[in-house]
Amino acid sequence: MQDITDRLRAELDERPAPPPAFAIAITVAAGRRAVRRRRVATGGLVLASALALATGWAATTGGVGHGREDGAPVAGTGHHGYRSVTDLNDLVPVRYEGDGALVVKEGWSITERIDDPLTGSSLWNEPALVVDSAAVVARRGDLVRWVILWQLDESSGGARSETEPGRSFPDLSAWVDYEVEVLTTSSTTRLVTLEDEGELRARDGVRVVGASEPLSALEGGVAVRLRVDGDTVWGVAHRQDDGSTLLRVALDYPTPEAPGTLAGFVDHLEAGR
Amino acid sequence: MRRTEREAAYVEFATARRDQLRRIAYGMCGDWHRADDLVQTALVRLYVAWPRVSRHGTEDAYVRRILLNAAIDESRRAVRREVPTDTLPDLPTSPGLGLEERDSLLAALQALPAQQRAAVLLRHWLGLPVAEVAAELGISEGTVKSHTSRGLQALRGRLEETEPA
Repeated sequence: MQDITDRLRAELDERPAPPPAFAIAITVAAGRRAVRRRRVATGGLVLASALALATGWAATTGGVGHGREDGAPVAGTGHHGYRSVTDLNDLVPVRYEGDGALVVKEGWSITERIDDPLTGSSLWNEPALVVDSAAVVARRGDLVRWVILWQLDESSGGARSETEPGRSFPDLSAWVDYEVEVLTTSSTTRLVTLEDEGELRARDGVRVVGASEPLSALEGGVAVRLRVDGDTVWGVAHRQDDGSTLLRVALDYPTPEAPGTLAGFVDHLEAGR
Repeated sequence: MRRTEREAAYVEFATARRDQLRRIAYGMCGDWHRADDLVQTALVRLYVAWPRVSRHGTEDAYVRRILLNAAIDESRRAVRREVPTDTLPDLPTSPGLGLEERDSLLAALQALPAQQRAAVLLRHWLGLPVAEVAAELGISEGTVKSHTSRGLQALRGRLEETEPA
């Protein structure tokens, strides 16, 4: 049998290819549109900071600025082929470098990775296209983090990190599905259900810390405070026509001015109507 | 660098690499139409990231990584865009291999898990070093070695089954 390498070369190098179905100019035009969307957007760094502030989830920059690219201390090559650096924290021990590669905090390793969960999407309040994204399981001894991170361009992006993974979602993939839903739509159908009688039920692993009565100012929606994998999630649950329950996650609460209480959340919602 | 200069550099790069990128994508998915879609997606993302990656001189690795990730992701989602047709397309004749031999190779390649397929293509077709393959696929060098070893073994086994001795 002919050696596989030779056969691959014979087939893939020498085989006549049909003419391409696209012109390079098409990619230039699409690229310009993507860049324009990025420019009209508010900065991704602002979004990342807002998410961290509002939800307690961690955020970090993606590719970071030129100074960071040049000045990031590099500790060496970490486990599993990832370069390790020393200027990350234990909350989000992973980030994108300027060349698009993931680096990990010294002492941590990446044991599982899902590529491009958000790539090509726009975040819920950010029209810029996500140009690169990944979700990983990072470990150092007994510490485990699930992290989803994304880049909007070379100088902006964000990340969210789960510090007590496995309580609400069985694995990284299930958590990523939830995160992608929330990040792109700011709502999810995966956490709670409003029963016919108005009773609120949480899925396994999700705890209802508090819930309001149906609020007439919110078309009968119920304000809820949940614990999801160790994090607090605020939102408004609505029963849909098809019987499902949509939870609109309040990524802008609590604010520095408003207390993180259910009553404060209801006031915040009603003030915003 | 001004935008016109940046774009000129991008167009020059994209034009020079398009053929090879299409062949990589074809190796990954076994279909020229899907290969074109994958390459377009990768090139648009390259355009967006061009100021950064061209500054670092990592254009080739970047666009290949985007392309392979897109192909692997597509395989994982098991997205298949099949269009019913009454007629079979004409296949161009390969000067390298006979039609049956070629089809059995492509079929064997497509039967590999996506990441294994990518590792085999990068290592044994493009001839990249193990470390480079690991970096492009975001996996360890050990995993690259096991992927390529298992991939080659599976390819040989499948080809032996389908081809006359």
